[in-house]
Amino acid sequence: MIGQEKFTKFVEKYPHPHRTFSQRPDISRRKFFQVAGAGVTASYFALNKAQACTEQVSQQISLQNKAKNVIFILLAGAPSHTDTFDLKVVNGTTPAAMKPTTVNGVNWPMGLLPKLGAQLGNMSIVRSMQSWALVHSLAQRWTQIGRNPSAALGNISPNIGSVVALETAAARQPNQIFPGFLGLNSPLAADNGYFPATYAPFLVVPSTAGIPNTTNANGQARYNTEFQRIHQLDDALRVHSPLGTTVQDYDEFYSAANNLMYNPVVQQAFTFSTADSLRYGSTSFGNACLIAKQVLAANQGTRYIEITLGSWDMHIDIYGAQNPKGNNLFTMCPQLDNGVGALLGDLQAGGLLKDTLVVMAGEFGRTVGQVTPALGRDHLPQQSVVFAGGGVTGGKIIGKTTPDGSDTADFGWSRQRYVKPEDVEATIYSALGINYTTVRCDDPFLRGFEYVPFSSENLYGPIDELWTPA
Amino acid sequence: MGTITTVAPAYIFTGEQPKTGENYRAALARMITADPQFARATVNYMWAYFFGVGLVDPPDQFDPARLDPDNPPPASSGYTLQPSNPRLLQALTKAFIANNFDLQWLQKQIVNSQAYQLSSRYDGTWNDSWDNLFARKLVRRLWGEEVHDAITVSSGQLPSYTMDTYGTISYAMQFPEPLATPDGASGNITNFLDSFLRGNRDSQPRSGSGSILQALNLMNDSLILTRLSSTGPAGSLLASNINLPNTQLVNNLFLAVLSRYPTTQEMATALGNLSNSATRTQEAQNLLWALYNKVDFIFNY
Repeated sequence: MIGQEKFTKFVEKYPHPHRTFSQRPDISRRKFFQVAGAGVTASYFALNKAQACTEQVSQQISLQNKAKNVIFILLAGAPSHTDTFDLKVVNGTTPAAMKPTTVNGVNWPMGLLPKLGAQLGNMSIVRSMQSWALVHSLAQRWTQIGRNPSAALGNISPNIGSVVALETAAARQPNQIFPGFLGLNSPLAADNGYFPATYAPFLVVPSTAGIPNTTNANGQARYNTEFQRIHQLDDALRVHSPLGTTVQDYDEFYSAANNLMYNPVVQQAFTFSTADSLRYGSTSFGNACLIAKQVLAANQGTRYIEITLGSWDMHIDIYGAQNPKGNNLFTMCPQLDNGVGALLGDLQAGGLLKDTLVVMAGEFGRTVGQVTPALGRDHLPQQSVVFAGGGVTGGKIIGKTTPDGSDTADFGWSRQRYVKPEDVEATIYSALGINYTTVRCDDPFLRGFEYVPFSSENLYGPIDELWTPA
Repeated sequence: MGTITTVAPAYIFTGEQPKTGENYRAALARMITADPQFARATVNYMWAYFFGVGLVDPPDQFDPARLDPDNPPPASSGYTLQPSNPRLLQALTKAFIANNFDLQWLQKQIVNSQAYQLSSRYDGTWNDSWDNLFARKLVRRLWGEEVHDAITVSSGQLPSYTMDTYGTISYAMQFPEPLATPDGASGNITNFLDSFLRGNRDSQPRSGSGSILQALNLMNDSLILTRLSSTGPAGSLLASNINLPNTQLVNNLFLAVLSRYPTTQEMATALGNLSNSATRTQEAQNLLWALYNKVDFIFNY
């Protein structure tokens, strides 16, 4: 589907659902169009529930299939797009210290993000994105699950990372012991939804001590004895468990945990030196970026890493005029710049950047022009999203905003409409060679779970322009 | 830019408007509580809490058009009534309203019910599709707060957490907030509880799933390791029992942690490990450690 008007009409006709399930047409089935054509308007939609969900995968789409890994950096709180990735200089407002500079034709705040400014040749920026909602928790979750969290399947929808972990599970080697989906500094990461717990984000906070509790205070020998004692005493309830499969599955977590204990591979990937931490900015976010690089370099089965950096929710004193040490662009941007700057550099040096798609996005944008009376910026749907690595063509700007940055002036891609979180989701799947039109029939409601909503209507799709020549 | 219209407040499901001069907040409270769905949802949440599965499940996926057994969806629609036991839900709802929305009354009804007395034992092959028939108790993993309290209570060593304006709390079940941080945002206890997927009030549901982090914590966290001492503090589990004869020691540990006696096999295994006097103390500690890692400790069955 092409064009913003057509898209808007579709969305208005099938709004993010508020009505009850049986009154809600299941429009991703071909049957809907047949019945709607016949003018049926019963309150119970005449859909035969006994009809099995059909697992669908369209063969008529092409996938980029360029990347093996994804690092998704969630800029929680929503950064001001016109002060960062879509810089608009406002006379009398934009501080000189932001050093607006034209870098390879791109207007960039070198005073805020110098290292990323040097990496513009590796990054592509999409400036025509708009969020669906302006509430932090809703929009953050929307970004992570690639669909409306309050819609029918929103409650059980998995994080994009969980889908990736599931889809890459088959390719895992027996010696690979890291979880497929890793969450660093992301305690509020959207979970695995209805997918099995093994695809949940494995949550770690960076520490020089590595993953907590992967050693035992009583020492390794004693730990090994104790681990034996568990099986001696408990295997009757763990193996072919009379208590059921949930309990039986729990033993697998113990086995996986045991594999991580006293394991030099784990320690190497999850601990770091002061020197390395310094290169990444000596912050918790920087450490997370460092660990992400190390985990991918270890090639132990992790394929999706989510890192959260916040808060960007600068309603007050966004330029730090009143409180330079407060939460403002000048205190937040160095963390982002040092962390991602070093990350991209190290990934490139290690030959990993071409295999790793890096995505950076907040949950929406911020108001433009002059600041508010509180000297800050408030919420706004217009935003940017940044891509790097995974074969993405560097130095590209896709889409253009209006002179003040409050709306999109040029969509910049083939679908000729606002880029949405669902499109970013499709882009990630396409980059990894995962068919984004997949519909799974194993959800608890038996309604079918689409990797990307409305995929059979071709409503959303990947931003292929990221991979075309500059 | 568009037109500006004044929107009068109206209850979303009936369109009812506040009475003239009625305080809007009071009006909304009155209308919500008068809506049978309020009572119905409450009853269902409480049922789901005790049984692990609601009469409507998941409990936040109510379909108001499919609840009334006297007004079921037409057969041609392919949809059936949503609750697994529509009459029970209806009756409990009515009675809850009649008993003035008394939560204690509701809990008493549920825990005194025959369904709640059932064990999880089923001599045969269970079919998961029978879960919502409540013919047996459904095995569930303990909540993080329950695991924490079961460890501290059974080991006879209660903690003392200072929680802001709430004073000192010893039981995780008394935390004022699902994501309370009894020892700081990155504290040990906080991480232990978080690994059991506590959820928050906003965007993250509580989850009963297992995880590698839970296993790592149960095996290695100081919450457990500091409670294995055979010498004290006074009144603690192992210290109080270490000098008893082996059989009694084993029995008391099982009773304290699992609320049951060991099976013949378990007793034999434990006695075998305790038989060498040189390693007896260590093996007693290993036994207690293993008990806290048994699946029948972590799961409620």
